[in-house]
Amino acid sequence: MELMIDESTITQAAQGDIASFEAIYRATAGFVYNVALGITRSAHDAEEASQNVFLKVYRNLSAYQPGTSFKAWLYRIINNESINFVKKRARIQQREDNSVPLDTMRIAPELDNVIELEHHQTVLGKILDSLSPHQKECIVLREIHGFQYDEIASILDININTVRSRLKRAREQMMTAGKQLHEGLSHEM
Amino acid sequence: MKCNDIQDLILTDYHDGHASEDIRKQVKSHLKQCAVCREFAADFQRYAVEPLAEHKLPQAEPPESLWNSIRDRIEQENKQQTPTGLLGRLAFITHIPRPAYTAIASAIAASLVFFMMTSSPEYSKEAGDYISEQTSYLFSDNGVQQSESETEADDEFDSVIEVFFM
Ligand SMILES: [Zn+2]
Repeated sequence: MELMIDESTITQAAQGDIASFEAIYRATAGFVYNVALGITRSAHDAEEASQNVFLKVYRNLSAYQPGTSFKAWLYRIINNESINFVKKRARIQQREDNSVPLDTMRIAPELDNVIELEHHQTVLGKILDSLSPHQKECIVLREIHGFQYDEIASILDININTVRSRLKRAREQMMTAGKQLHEGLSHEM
Repeated sequence: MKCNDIQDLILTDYHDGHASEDIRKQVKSHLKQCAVCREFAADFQRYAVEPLAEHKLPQAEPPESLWNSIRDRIEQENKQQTPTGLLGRLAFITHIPRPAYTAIASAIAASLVFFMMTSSPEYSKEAGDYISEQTSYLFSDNGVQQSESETEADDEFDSVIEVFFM
């Protein structure tokens, strides 16, 4: 999905023009809110995270480099803000039952919820479980968000060849895990 | 192209739409002739592509009140801040050019917190709040990154989640 904003709107908003900033909001609010929702899994947290995202965008628009992917730039902000909410919840949870590890937060944790919610029981959960955190990041950014290799590279601050090699390894791993599961299931029958 | 090359392309550029028209033709004609690669492509679809197809982003409408809340917060911020105000003068913190990475920026910001806190008491609260927000941001991102010790053999860089607006 492409975001429909032209560079001149961004430039004007960066100079403090609120109408241009509202145009950016209108073009991106759905993307921002739904990524936040995908990460936080809470309408309340997603709304607050989205508010923080747009405030950060407003303050830092002049740091956006024209000609680069605005969507990738925005994604990093959404990811950071949403993870703050997930961490806050995890901290509260940890105080209560001492079980949620705090050191697992990273870029693009959207699919972790799939695994947690489904208790590692589904085939997808098991397949994803076989991936390293770095591999999962790349898979989420490519398959869930549809980012191009150069956008993934800029979001994760790695080079394009690393993106390609992580995706390749991740997919090989998914195929191996999927085949093993399939064979395991057919032996049981 | 050999089977290995074809399978690499299926795993990456061919599937992700990064292959040229010429490469796409070569892959297609290889698949017509080679049963091994056809099976590979089928397994790829079945185990690495289809399971993810259902897990797209949620498609919810943002709440009606979201824009008003954001605009109110911006107006409030603008009111608190005179054009030549401290926040304006501190804005350079967020404009450090991108190659200056987190460690450097954190150090600069941290030393500024200290400087502002000790040297100008009349501004220290406003500045302190602003900078500590910026730095806790920097540090929290660092924390996230440092906790990830996992590496991959052929990765040239670890993924550095440094502050996005640098
Ligand atoms: Zn072949």
